[in-house]
Amino acid sequence: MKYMLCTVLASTALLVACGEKAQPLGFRGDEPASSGTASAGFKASDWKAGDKTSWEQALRVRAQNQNDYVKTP
Amino acid sequence: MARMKFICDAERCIECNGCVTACKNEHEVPWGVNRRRVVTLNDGVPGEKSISVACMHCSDAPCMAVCPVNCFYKTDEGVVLHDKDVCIGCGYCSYACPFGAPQFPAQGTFGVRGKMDKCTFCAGGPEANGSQAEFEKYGRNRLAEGKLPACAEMCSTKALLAGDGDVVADIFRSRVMKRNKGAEVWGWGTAYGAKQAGQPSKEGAKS
Repeated sequence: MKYMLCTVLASTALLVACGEKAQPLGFRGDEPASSGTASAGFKASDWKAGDKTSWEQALRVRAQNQNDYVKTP
Repeated sequence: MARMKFICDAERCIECNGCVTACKNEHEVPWGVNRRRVVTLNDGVPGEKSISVACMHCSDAPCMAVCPVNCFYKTDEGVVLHDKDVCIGCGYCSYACPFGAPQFPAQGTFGVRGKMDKCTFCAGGPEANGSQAEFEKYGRNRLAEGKLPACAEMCSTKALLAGDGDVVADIFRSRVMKRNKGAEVWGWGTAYGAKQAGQPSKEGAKS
């Protein structure tokens, strides 16, 4: 009986080792960019992490740096 | 917020490849993979035009439509991203993309094609924003830092514009008004619909 139990346990352990993890397909979710970043040292200072409105506004202002007609008359 | 978009002003691009270098440096892109490249039309002929090309983050992205494992997703800002943990490197997206954006590293055993790599609009991927895992797979997440893509911010002539579609279209429109030429934006219609940047919208046209 004891021998049989050991055999069953060993077989189960071996079969589990041969198993495969589930691999779900498709998009698994992403944090919004406005929620901020773990690398806080690189964050631009003119908006607050988690505040989408301030993030959008900061990007709009930053995009104007590409407009050289606002830098020169 | 409107959608994030790229505009390359062919009247201004001087083929310096600063955008290509900025991208490779920012994301530590491996050798042989170019998320962005500069293409010159009629090279050497007077009137030649150069354009900087990468993923345009299309409104109706064909790569998303053909992916057999559905690894692509679109953020709220309209940035087309993909999950490298799901990608099987089949290459369907590279056949579907009109801009040749998807890139495949060939450093595996026997030069086997690896997982697809492409421009992320400096928005990383599905890993936690700013994490090491995100950087290693997708590069820096500048959008989560409140910055715009490095290629556009580094462009010396400001030929390459990136950001909120309305803002960059306004910048481009003011340029066209000043110089009175060069209103055509290469790739804009293909990526975002028939409407040209800086032109008044037509009834029923896709934006």
